[in-house]
Formats: sequence, C-alpha cells, structure tokens
Amino acid sequence: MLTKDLLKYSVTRQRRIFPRFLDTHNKQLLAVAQELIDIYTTGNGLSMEELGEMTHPVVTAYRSPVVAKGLNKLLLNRCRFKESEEALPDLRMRVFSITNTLLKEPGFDQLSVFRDELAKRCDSDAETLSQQLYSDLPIRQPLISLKPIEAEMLLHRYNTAQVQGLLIRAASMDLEIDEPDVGLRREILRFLRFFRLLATIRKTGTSRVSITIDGPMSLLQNSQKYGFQMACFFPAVCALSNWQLTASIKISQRPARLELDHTTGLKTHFTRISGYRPDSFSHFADNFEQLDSPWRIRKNPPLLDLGQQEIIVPDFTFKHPDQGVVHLEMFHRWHAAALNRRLKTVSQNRKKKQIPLLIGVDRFLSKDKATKSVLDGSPWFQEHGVLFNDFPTVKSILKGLKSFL
Amino acid sequence: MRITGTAEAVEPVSQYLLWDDRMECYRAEGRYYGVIVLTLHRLKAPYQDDARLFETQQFQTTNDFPPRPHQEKALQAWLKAGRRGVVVLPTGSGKTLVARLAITHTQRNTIILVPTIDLLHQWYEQMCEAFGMDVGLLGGGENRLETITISTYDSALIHMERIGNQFGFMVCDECHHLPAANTRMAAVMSIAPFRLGLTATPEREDGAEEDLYALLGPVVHRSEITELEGTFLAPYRLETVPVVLDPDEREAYDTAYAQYRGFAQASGISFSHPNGWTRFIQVCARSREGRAAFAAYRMQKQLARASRAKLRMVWLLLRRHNSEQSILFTDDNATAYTIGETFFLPVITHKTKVSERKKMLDAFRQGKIPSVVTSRVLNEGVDVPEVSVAIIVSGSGSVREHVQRLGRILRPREGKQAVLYELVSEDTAETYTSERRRQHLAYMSKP
Repeated sequence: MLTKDLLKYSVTRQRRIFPRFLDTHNKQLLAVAQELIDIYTTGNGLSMEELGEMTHPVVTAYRSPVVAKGLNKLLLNRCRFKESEEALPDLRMRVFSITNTLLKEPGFDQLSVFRDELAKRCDSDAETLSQQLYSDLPIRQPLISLKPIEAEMLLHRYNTAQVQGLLIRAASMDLEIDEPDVGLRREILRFLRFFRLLATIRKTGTSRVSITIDGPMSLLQNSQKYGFQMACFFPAVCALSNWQLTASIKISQRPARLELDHTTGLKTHFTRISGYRPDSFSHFADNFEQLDSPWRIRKNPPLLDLGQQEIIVPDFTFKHPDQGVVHLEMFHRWHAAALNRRLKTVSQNRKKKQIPLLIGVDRFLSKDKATKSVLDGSPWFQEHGVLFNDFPTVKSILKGLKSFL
Repeated sequence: MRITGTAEAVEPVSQYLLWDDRMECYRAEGRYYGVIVLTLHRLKAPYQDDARLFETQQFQTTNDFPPRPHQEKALQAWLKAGRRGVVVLPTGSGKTLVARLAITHTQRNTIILVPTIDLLHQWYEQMCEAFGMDVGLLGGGENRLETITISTYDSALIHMERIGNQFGFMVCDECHHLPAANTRMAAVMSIAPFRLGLTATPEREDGAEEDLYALLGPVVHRSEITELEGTFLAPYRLETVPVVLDPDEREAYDTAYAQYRGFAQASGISFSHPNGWTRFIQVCARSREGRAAFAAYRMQKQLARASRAKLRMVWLLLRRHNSEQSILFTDDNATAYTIGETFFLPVITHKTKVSERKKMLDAFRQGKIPSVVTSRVLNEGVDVPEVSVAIIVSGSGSVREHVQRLGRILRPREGKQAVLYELVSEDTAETYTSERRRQHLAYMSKP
C-alpha cells in the first residue's frame, strides 16, 4: 500500500476525487518500472542502504519523483532481506566497555592510537572493526529475494494502491455489483467477512447486488484501522466483471467523493479470488475436520436470503448427517448494529427455526454495555450463541452446534 | 447517557451533539462528557449517566516528599483552573511529583499517557513506589488495567474506544505529542473530565498547541529553566564552538552552496517565504539542473553536519571530559553512526532494537559506557541523572529540540556543573540554524 505522501490525486470544486492513474502502456513509465525491477532483481546480496543509493538516481531522474518513489515503495514491500545476526550486540558491548577504559587512560590523545589499541584488544584492526560494529542494522542487511513482478503489472499494482491509499480514509463505501458468475459473486461477499467489514447487502436483480460498507465512527471521526480493512478488500472488487464504487473520503478535513467502476481498467493483484481463505479460516476448517464429530464443514457456504432483499453471508456452514445444516455468522467489534438487526430477524423466526444460524460474538463487542443487554435479552443468543476472543475455537463452535440437535 | 424530556432538553448541550440516523440517538465525542454532565447538573436537568465507569478512589501516597515551591504553585494553579490544564516545567524539575499530587487531590481512576516505552517503565516504577499498589500497564506487551494505569499514546489510541469511560482523570506526559493527527484521538475518545498536561515546551512549529489546549485545557503554570537553575536544576554553561572546515571541504561546500542557491534564485524562490522550501523541492524535481541543485543541497548540508574538522573537535571534547559521561546529539542517523564507528561509541536511534537500547542505557546509567550518540530518540523522556556534558554535533532549527537537549543534563546533583557544547561549522548555513534554535530564554540569558 502507498503512504499518504505518495498518493497522487486531484479534488474538484464539487469535492470529487480523481486519482491520477498511470497509463500502464506508457513506454517511459514502463522503462522506469523495469529499471527499478532490474535493480532489485539483480541486487541479491546488496543492502537496503546500497539499493537506496542505486535507486535514488532513477527515482529522482523521473519527471515525477513521487510516482517513481511509489513504484520503488511497492517493490521494497516485495523484498525479503536477511535477518540480522545475533552475535553483534555482545561484540558491541565488549567494544564499548574497552572504549570506556581507554578513554580514561592517558596516552590516547591521538585518535589513531586509540583506535588501533582498541581494535588490537578485540583481535581486529581499526578499519575492520569500524565496519563490523553496526553491520547488523536492518538497513545494512542483504537482499535475499524479490517477489517477481513484471513492469506492466507493477504499474497496475500502483494504480490499485492509489485507490487503497484513499480508501484508508473512507467513511463509507457503496458498491453495485453485476456479476453473472455465481461463484465469484459469492466469493466477493465472503471477502467482506474475511476483512470483517460491516456491510448491508441487498439483492437488486438476478446477478446484481448492492453493498453498503459503513465505518463505525463515520459520523464523528474517521477510523483508519477500519479504513485499512476497506483498502485490503478493494483488490477483490477489481476481479469482478461489472462494478461501481462510490466512497466518501475525508480530504483536508472535508468529505469528498470517489467514484470508480470496472471501466477504469484497474486490475486485481490477487492471484486467486475463488477459493481464497485467510489463514485463520483455513486453520479453523482444518482443526474442525480433525474433531471426532459427525458434523462436517461445507467448503462453500451458501448465501442466505433473509427476505426483504437482505442477504447473509455465513462465515461457515456445517452439515450433520441427520440434522441438516447450521450456519455460523461471526460478529466482531464493529458489528454492534448488524448483530442487533440479526438477533431481531432470527428471533422473529425462532419458532419456525427457518434460519439455523449459530451466532458468534467477539467478547470485545459483548462487553459493550448496550450489546450486553441485547445479548442478555435474546433467547436465541442464549440458546444458539457463542462468545470468542478474536476467532472462535473449534470446541466452542461444536458445543454451539449441539444446541441445534 | 439518557436525557429525559422533550427535544428542548438537549438544547443546552446541543453544540456538543450530532444526530445519528442509524441508531436514532445523539452522539458526542468522549471529551465532551465532563462539560455535558456539568451543564445538565447545573441546570438540574434530569439525566441518567450510563457512560461513566470510573469511581471515587482513596489513593494515598506512601512516601510523601514535600513539594518544592514551583511544584506547589503549579498544583494550586491547576486546581484553581478546575482541574484542567497544562503545566510547563523544565526537564528534571519534578513533573512526576506534580502529577502524583494531582492524583491524590482528584481521587479518580487515572490514566497516564506517555510517548515512549522507556517512560512507560519509568512512570510504572515511580507510581508503584509512590502509591504502594499495583499499577496497570498498556503497551510494551502489557495489557492490564488498574485504578492507576500507565499507557503509551499508541496503545491508548488502540484501546481508548473500549476503556475511555473507565478513567476520570487523564495525565498526558510530554503532552506536546498529543496534537498529532492520530494521537489526539486518545484524548478525544476519553471521557475523563479532569486533565493534566505536562511538558517543558508546549509550543509546536505547526502551531498545533491550540489543539493541545482544546483537548487538555490552557497553560495554567509555567516555570522557566532560568528560574530554577542553581536551586532545583543544575547550574549550566553554554559553549558554542565554531568549527573551521578543512580547505578541500570548504571548497566543496562553497561550490555546492553556490550551485543550489543560484538555482533557487534563478527560479525565483525565496527561502524566507513560508512555502519557499516546498517550492524548491517541486522545482528541483522538474529538470536535470534542478535535480543537480538538490544533490548539491544535500552535499553541502552533509559537509556542514559531519565534516572532518567536526569529528576532530568531538574527539577533543571526549578527551577533555574523559572522566565524565556525555550525550552526543546529531541531526541525522548517518552522522550518528559515523561518530559511533569512528570513536567506537554506542549509537541509539529508532533503528536500535528495544532490548539492546535498554542494555545500553542500563550500562550507561551504571557508568560502564562513557558516552551515547543519538540522533533524536534521547531528546526527551530518558532519565540519565549522571550526565553533565552534552555535545550538539548537529541539529535542526527547532527551539523545542534544543531546549529538550539541554534538559538532558540539568538533573541536579551535588557539585554538578553541566556544560552544553554546540558545534557550528563556521560560515555555513549552520550559523543561521544555530541562531534560530537558541531563541529561548534558557539560551538567550547566557553569554
């Protein structure tokens, strides 16, 4: 992602934001990108400091150094540097102790005499010891590898990063999706769950879905933590064939509007949309499968239509050989209002048990006074609810599933 | 918080409220809790307070040092201002004791915010000892709340939305950090009606001290270094050491200086203009000549900061004070490491790992290492009582930075005479920078 100083955009008088996207076929830009890629690709063994010296002329020579800096930053994010060695702090403390002794002694007014004597006591020579003393600084660590990328893809990555950098400051985001691929449509909704975004999802046509993503403090203050989640979600949107995005973003303390759609030409850098799962979800699924239990996890949870055009995207769906399926929906720290709404819906259907929904609530959220009273007053949650810290354990979920038997 | 009555019932506090359509209720930032409650209370308007989770406490100190006159004055001024406001005291003059007295006078659950992990541990030890009870910690891997809790600004920012209603008193140490874009949210989200800011230098170059006063209250007391020198602070002298560049470095400096200044002049840029520097950067980026001018700017700056002549002077001073410990300050990390590698001295920058920094500072306190080189991380907030010599190898034009660096050597000790050397490359832009940063009473009052 790009930091604020590396973003390039303009804001019109009507408070509309226009990110300055790069022309991904521009020969000059492709040349700069390639030059930077070449430095890092052939730079194995060079330190970040040395690489900085090599990239500096390329960055400053380009007519817009901010753009070149942005490209360089994205490449640095793809670099893996060697971890520093552990032995040097001990060497340093030994050297400093000798410095302490020698500085107090007479006869060392000449710096060179002092340096030679000190190095001698460390079984080294002054020049070598000087160079070794701070050679373990991260900035002096050698490059091990660069995650490969082609010049054109780097420019695409830059364009997406421009939007992500703006979305970090978003107060809200509206998405209209028209995606004929059912699998892709379902996956994008699941991505909302992966990034713990608070969303209202409405089905507006056979293949059309309208999503409103709201920030928890959007009314009063921007929360960058939440904005970061929105930014991480955005590349998944770029994988869709037909989409429109409108976001409200605070620029210079005033709201401005960002409008984008699939015609902008933004490309996702997610290599796999379909089938992607964050590690926490994969670990949970793997651990659950290892339990001695008749319940099984379904690989692709279905979307649940609540009626009135509202859709639920379960985090997991479990199948029991005799009792059918139960869905799990998790509510994190930002989801107070959504939890409230969901408990109302499920309690209306309680007698019919139309929606076999197990409700997981983050303890962080459950400690909130208003939420606590809602949870305490919900017979559904008392019967089919589970509390968790950040992510539920398989045992707690299994216990919750038994409430449906 | 529930206010009963008609829509007019919220009118007296409406300036702090915003209507939230989603929840169909009014919302207010935590910081307005105190004023809202006070207004409603004075109007005898009926309300139900479910926001507050803090209690009245019975804090008692176990070792009562009597406050010094300036500390007593500061406390009384703060109490008189309604237990809100900023107290300005020089480093080493006992700001912690003022906070301790304020806590015992206020008797509410207290959160103390500090900018660094070092200060987190220092405050923790001092508060545990003073109140003879366990104190909570947020930050540095700790997450434990107690009736008195110390937190870094960063951790407070993360947790305040959850714990903002659990403290009635908020102390902000080195509070000039508070107005930063994100950090200020810690004070915005807290409902603590009572607030105390502590700093040696509230003024900020970006003028954001007004935001500081809006969040904590106005300056209620100020004591200057010059008022306390010789009694509650160590006596000190200042020595500006002019450094003459070697002929080859002088020539290189003059050429580079003329090149970048000439380019700026030809481009119609005046550095005395508020936007002069920004314009210079912009213009430099547009042409080959501009980029060469920028390279020349960097070169002359580097020569002035860390010339061979400066390094020789550093060695001379280290030998002159070889029986005393010293801190060497630089403006940039590169110069700090050059000095560290040349004289085999410990360097502490933001790149130093926390564990090693602690080890170095412990050894420094115990007198096992002679000097420490640092760029900016030791400017404030690290308690190093034995140091009496500071060498400013290079620095910015910031008055605050310069005053804080002086503060590092002013902790009083029997018979201590502190000295601050400022190395200035003669006939370079450093002369002007040095003049700018000395615009403070602590410097102007000395010959």
